[in-house]
Amino acid sequence: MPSIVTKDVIKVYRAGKSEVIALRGLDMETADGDLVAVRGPSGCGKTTLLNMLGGIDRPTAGRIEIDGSNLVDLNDSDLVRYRRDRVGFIFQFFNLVPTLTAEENVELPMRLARKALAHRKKRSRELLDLVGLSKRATHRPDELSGGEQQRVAIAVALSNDPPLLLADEPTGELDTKTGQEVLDLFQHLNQDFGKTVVVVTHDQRVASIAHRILEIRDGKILTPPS
Amino acid sequence: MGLLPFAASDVLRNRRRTFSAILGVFLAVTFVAGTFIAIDSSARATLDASLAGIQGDFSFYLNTPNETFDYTILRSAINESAGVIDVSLSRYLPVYSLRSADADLLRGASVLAIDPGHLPSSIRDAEVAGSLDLPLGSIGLTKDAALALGVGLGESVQVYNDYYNETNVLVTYPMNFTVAAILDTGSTYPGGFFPYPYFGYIAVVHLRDASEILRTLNATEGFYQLYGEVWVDRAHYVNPYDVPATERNLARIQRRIEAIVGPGTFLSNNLLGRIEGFQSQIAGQRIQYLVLSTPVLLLGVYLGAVGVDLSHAERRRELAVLRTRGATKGQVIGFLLLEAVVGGVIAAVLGLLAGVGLSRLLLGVVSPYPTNPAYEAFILTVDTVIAVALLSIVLMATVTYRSAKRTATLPIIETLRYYAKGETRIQYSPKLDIALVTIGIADYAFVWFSRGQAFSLLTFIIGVIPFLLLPFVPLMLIVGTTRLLTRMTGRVYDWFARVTRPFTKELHYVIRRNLQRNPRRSSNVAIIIALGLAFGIFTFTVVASQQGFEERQIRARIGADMAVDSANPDDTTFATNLSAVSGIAGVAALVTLTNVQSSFCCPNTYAFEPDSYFAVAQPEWWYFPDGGAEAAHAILEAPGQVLVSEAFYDGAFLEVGDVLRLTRSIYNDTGYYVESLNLNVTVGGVVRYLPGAGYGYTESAIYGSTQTFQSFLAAQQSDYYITTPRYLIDLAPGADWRAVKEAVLDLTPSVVVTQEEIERYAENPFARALQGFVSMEIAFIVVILTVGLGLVLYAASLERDVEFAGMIARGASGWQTATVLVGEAFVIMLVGLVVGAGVGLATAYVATQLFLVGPPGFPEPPVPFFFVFPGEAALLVLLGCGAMMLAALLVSARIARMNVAQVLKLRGG
Repeated sequence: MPSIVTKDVIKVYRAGKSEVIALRGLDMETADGDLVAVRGPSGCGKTTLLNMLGGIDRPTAGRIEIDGSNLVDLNDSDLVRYRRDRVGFIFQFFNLVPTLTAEENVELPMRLARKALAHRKKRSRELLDLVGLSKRATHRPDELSGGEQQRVAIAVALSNDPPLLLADEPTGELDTKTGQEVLDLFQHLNQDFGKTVVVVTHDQRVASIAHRILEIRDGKILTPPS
Repeated sequence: MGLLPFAASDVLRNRRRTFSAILGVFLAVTFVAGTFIAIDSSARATLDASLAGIQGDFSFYLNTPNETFDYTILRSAINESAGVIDVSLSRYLPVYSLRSADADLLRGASVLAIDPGHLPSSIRDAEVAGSLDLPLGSIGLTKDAALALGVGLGESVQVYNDYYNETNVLVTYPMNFTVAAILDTGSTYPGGFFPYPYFGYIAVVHLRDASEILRTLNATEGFYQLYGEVWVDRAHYVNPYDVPATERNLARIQRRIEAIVGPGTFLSNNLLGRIEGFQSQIAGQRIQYLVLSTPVLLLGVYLGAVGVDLSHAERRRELAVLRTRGATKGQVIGFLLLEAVVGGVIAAVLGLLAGVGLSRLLLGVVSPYPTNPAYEAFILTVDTVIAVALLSIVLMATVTYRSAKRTATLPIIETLRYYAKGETRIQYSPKLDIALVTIGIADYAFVWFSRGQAFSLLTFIIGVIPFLLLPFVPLMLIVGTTRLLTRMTGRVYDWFARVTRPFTKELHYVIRRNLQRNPRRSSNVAIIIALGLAFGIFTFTVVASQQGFEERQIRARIGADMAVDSANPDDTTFATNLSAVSGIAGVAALVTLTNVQSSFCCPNTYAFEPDSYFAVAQPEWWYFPDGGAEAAHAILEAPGQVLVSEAFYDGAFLEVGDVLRLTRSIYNDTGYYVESLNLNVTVGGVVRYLPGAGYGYTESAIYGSTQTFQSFLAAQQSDYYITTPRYLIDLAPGADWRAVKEAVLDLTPSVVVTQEEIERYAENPFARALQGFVSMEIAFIVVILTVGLGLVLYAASLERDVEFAGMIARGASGWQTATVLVGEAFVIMLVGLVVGAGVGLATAYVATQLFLVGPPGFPEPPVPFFFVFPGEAALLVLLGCGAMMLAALLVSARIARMNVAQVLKLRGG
């Protein structure tokens, strides 16, 4: 199970002559199996932090250790493997492949990991069952509701059984009831499957299920690391 | 029109979207603009070349009052007229015979009295060896005349006049001259492609001495006709870009000359007719090249439709919002058409600018006359600007209308879906394409059936009318078949997608799904590729096949590697001397028997020695419908047996074994008939034709050995009208034909070389210009194909950035994700390649088989038309596919290097 440690992480975006400092020396620690909520106003660096943890973006400076490995030291091929095997990312706008069915979307990361056909089929059925969508397996994203699409996205994120799940505003596009269903699912994955979950959110309900809440202001964590 | 400012601002605001929407039309009008600008810029060169061969800008025949008329005064008076830069006066003397010291005779020559400082057009551009001062007693000869007489510089010739006196006794009046100049006019016979006519053998003397020469030859005329040629200052008085001013200038010059030469002298304005026709010539050239540009226009329209479709798809939600705010469907369509008009204007402006650059490349091919593409010669006429602007706007409106209508009628709810309903299936009605293909195939079938049939009402209906449609059939078949094959079903893309499996591995199914879900967009691109390749392959193949056919025709007409005629029929050593020339492996004499009639009208009759003829001419298998060359040779070896041509055999209803009764008339020294000589020959076999013995589709001929026609040949030798045999020459392997020709020219001026004629045909400026233009057009088509594929991929990649970013975030590498796009491009290209190459080859093959079929009753040519697949066609396929895949890779590189975080942040998630 991973632990997450960041030390003095800085991220600067350059656009032409202007600079935007998204993270200004962010330090954080989480323990294994934590469900962590990350909150803060728009533009405070929440999504940037999540992108760093997910191996999608690299910091300008600092260290990001996941289970003892510094992501900054990984080359591109290692980062690809990290994203494929160690992290499951859940997006606010779902980002499913529109031309694939729900089942095929869930299979996609397993195909990238070159898992055998039988394993893929079995696992995708199990995951769709887990998220309550086994009857919608052959439907494409445009035939699913928002909540259903997000649940498919969660199943996709679990495809290669990663120990770490990162969710960026997962309930942002959902109604109250559906959003609650999704949060219940996160809790279930954390408590019953031991996943470490980091959720970036404005949703107040996350606070009630999170082990820790990190507040970010101006690129730094307000709350002490432990 | 109230929406025009909004349409314009929308077009200008999003430059990337506008550029992709107008790209296809921009490329099409660039090609047309470049062509028109090149035509306009080469107008002066075209005019100058078309005027090159005329005999003076003005010319006249003036009857002098007497023999002592002073021509120098006339010349000075005309020369001083404004606009005149030179005047040439000359006179043809009424004597026509020359002979050399060796008694070589030259009859039918023109003896021309000239003013040496002002030469007439017939010898104006000649290269002169020696001096043209021409004091009395000296003469100049054209090169072929000198060769015919066998004389060189400093040697003697005699001009003589045979005159019947009062007692009807023939008296010869000679005058001796020394050859002071030999003039090489550059053309023996026949002339080249430009109007430098062949004037025959010419001997020149000084005009000043004409009267005295004629007195010596007893050929005084009393008065004579002076031939005048006048040249004007074309640089200042002839402007192809201002024809009315030119007409005015020439009319004023003409009046001034008429005032000098006096009434009753007919002054011909040789420039005016050509100038007046020049505007029509330029207009005709524009129309011709516009028609030839049809493939580019067609592909530009298809590419434009794709680009517009993509831009409308990008704005689907925005346009749907317009409708929720109260816009009607008609208003949305009108708005989009207004945008198209603005886009058309932008495409026209950009097209004209780009066309200037392209015109530099096209200058050498739009005009058959060579010109140096100097930038200062760049001409942009009002006609071109208007034509290009109108074309651009019309094309943009055409490509926009259907997509605008579809977008405007889309239900708003559909905008929530990733692909609108209209994009998930190919909205295609095959009726038009089935009709095109059916008419094309039926046309070919009717023409094929009616070939060789006699003319009748039935063959008129099923032969003549389809024959008139024949030139359009390839276009109909190419367009109809490619559209059918690329649009009839979306499954074809799914089938071809299986090819990518070994390369794309895990993401192969993503490619298949994407192609299945949006077949319309795939087919729009595939059809562009298929049409482009089909046109290119068809054109290159037909041109190469045509080239091969022309070469076979040339060889058939000449008969061997070289053919010469003896200049002197009395020269009995000619054949021996010819055989001794280095590089000649064999010589065969071929005699056309004159004054021979048969009981069945009216074959030409040829006599030759079979062994030497077949060894030298080496006739190919297609001349012999039965038996082959060896069998034909054997027939001729048998005395009394002849071969007949198919045309004669069919026309005279002959059978093998029939006896032909031939009669030859005998004439005395004065050309009067004396008696007839009879000869019976037996038809031993049939040939289509034999090379070197005349040439024509309806050659009615009898071929026999010199032994069979011995009596006729003997009679011919003593004829008053002597004819010389033609000698066919086989060159030794590796011999340089140029060196051999030079050596043979020392024996006779009449030489024609097969290889030289083939090269001359290939250099035919009109054909070369046409081929050059078509090659440039095909190169431009490759640009359109590459740009088309790149455009669609780029737009598709923009639309699917988030999808690709999601894949990378979930564990795919950048290049792994990029292979999805490359794989889709490869499948579309493969479909286009297979369909285009297949249709292009099939259409070309059928067209070549029917290329020379004429209307019913029209005979087949003596030489076959073979299908040739040239290297250029294969190169087109390789380069075209290579360029397209390179474009796909370049576009896909963007995906591979995508900033995932930025894309997800910007596009949501």
